[in-house]
Amino acid sequence: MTESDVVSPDNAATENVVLGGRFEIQPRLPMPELSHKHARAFAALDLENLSGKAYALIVEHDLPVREQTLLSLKGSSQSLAQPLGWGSVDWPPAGRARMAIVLVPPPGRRLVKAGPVDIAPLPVKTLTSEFLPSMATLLRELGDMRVTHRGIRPDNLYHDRDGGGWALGECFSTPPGYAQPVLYEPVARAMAMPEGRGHGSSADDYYALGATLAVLAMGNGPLLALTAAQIIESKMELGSFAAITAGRRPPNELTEVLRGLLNDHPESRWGAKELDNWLLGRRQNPHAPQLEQQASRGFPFNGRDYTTLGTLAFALGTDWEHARAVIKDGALERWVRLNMKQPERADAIAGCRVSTGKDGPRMISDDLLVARTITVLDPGGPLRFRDFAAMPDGLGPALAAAMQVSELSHFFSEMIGGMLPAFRVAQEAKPTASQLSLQDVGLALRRHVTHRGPGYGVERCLYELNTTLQCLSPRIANHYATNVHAVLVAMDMEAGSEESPVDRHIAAFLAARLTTAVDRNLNEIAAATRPADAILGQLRLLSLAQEEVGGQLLPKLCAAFFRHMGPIIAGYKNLPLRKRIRQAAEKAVDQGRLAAFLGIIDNKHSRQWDTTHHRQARARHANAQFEIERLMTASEHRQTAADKLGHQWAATLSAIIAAAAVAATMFTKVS
Amino acid sequence: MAVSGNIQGKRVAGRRGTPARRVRGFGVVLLVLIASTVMFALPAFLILVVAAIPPLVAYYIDRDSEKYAAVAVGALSFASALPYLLELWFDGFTIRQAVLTLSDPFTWLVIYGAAAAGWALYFLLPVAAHSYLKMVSDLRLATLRKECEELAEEWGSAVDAPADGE
Repeated sequence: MTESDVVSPDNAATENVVLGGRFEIQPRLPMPELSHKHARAFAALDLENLSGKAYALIVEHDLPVREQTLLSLKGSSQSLAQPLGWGSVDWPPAGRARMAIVLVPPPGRRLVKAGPVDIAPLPVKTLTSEFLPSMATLLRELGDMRVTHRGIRPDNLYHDRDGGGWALGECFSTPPGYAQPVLYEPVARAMAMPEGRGHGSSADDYYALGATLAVLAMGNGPLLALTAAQIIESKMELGSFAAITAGRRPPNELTEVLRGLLNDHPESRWGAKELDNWLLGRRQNPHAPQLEQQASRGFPFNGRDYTTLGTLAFALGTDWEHARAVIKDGALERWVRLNMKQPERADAIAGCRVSTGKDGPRMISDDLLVARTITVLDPGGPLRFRDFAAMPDGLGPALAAAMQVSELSHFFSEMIGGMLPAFRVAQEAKPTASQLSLQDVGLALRRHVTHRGPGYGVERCLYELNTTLQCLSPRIANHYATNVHAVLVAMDMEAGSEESPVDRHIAAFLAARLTTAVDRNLNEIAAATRPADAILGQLRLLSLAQEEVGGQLLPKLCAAFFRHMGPIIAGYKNLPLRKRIRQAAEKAVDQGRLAAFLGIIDNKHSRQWDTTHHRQARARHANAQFEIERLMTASEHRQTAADKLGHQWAATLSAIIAAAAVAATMFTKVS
Repeated sequence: MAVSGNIQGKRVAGRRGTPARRVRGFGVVLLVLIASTVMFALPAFLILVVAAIPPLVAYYIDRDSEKYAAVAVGALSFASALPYLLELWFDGFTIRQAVLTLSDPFTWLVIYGAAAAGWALYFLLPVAAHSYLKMVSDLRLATLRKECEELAEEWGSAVDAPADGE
């Protein structure tokens, strides 16, 4: 149960939450009929259009929402869950900030309840004359906007029996395909983690439409008992059409369109054109399902004999330890060579043990060997590394999910470090532009992963891959800060007595979002030998960030840094200068400008003056000490010197007296 | 090189003359002067002999190479003998007159009193010089200590610490 499920007396007293000065969200008025597993719905008012209907979805996960899709759908029709506005809001029931999306409610009611419920078949006529034409129009509209929905399933459909027609529920509050049961996902994407299924293409939406149509036409009774793995294996072995119809005979009127939409090859799958033609009554012959090549003898693995490469790859991916053994002893390679009659692929499996190219991984670990082998067996499948599995276009959200489980993020690091994306592209005879870009992305991510300093590592990959993800730093996670400005404000609000104001998440977030190059600052933080120097590097990084986004003053953050500046100020040798710097820094703290604060604490001219004058002072002090020492030891020899000087004086004085006496005598006698 | 240096050193010393040679030369000149005085001014010589005794004694007992004792004593001793020499000159410059002068105890008292004053200066001024040197040293020490204190006040313990980059 989530916090939004309960409307406690406290919650009842909760005031409305304003989003962007335009929308008023009412936490006291939940709308369970529009809520789903990952977002709760509440009544909302559009203050600029009080007569218009609106409701708000409060997102309850920390995965990235589909901001690009939100932008694209902003001007769309009501049947596509038109978003009106979105952003983070302080959500009192949760005691933290949440992403809120205000949107136009769909017409009618949700077709079926969410979750594993028995779905009763709809009349074929309803499906052919109402449902499919509406869906064709909506998918065409989405196609025109170059947006994939990735959430077409029965419990995300809305139907207005009063003539409002059919509508698709929202698809932007979760990563693409995240909420889809595997039944509605093409095989390759179904094998990925739910977060890593990727944006996909319109072909994936047509596939989901086909699966939805099949369930609406025949019900889902036999499929309810199947696990996700069984559905995937069934789709691979029988083909999606046969797997989803599950031995039942679909209505004759729908067989053709189901075969077309559920074709497992995206290139042969029906799209907008074929669906429109079918709706116009032009009957077509969909391509027959092309099942995978079957081996003459199955490969035994975990008590089953696998006869296709796809099903075997899927099975190997689900039991990594056992897979390691069968791959290392060469049994798999021999089976592919002899039973599948695919010597090239067998050679490729043998080549998985070898690191190729000067940029390749230095060594092939057992896990990487398994991952490479699975990739060779099923190059169209997700990138798999132990429990981490994501389609190339779903790496970002998958990593966001993996960050919540340290083991998974470690698998991601190993996968990227082992250059699995590039290896996957290398398996393609003629890689497409998007595949080649995956290779570049993989290499860029590898540069981050192999750098262990703050601002790099898996955290940097996370923010580079998810350009709209909020900063997941535990210190400011409650603020749902999605940009540099928000991060700085959140840091200022949370500034306290922490040992290091900038953690790995914040450093990586800033490095990924700032347009200014901060590599030098990050290296400076990483290379710092004293904690104070690292803090100074962090201050430089944040001052750059504040200068870039401008505006917001950060007095509490300045004060937090000031608490750490003791050793830095102590770095100045001159005591009056230290005092002046401390006083000036105290004043700058109140002003809240990090750059000005930094300019006082770490002033080049002051440091130069201090160094130069310290050298001079040291020399003067050393000379004085030497002189004092000399004078102290000279006291022992002073008597000798005094004797000599006294005797000299005596001789001189005697001579002077004598001269005076002679002169006086001569003057007296002669005159 | 060391050998040639020594050779050069000998050559230089030879040109300028050694201290021993110089002393010998000075002794010759002194002997000539004494001989001339004995031959041409015997009365004055008698008085000068009396006046010369204290500086000669000082010369021989002073171990210092500069012989300041002889200078201090001699200067006053000879200066105190000058009135008697002038008196001798104006009273005929005879041996008898010289003997009469020397037979007066006051003459001896004056000449040897002056020599004693020379000795007194010789013994007392080192004490004054010691006080003077101590005072100068103390003043310098105070100045240096104040400078150290001021530097320590301005730079703290860093005044003893190595400079950055050293």
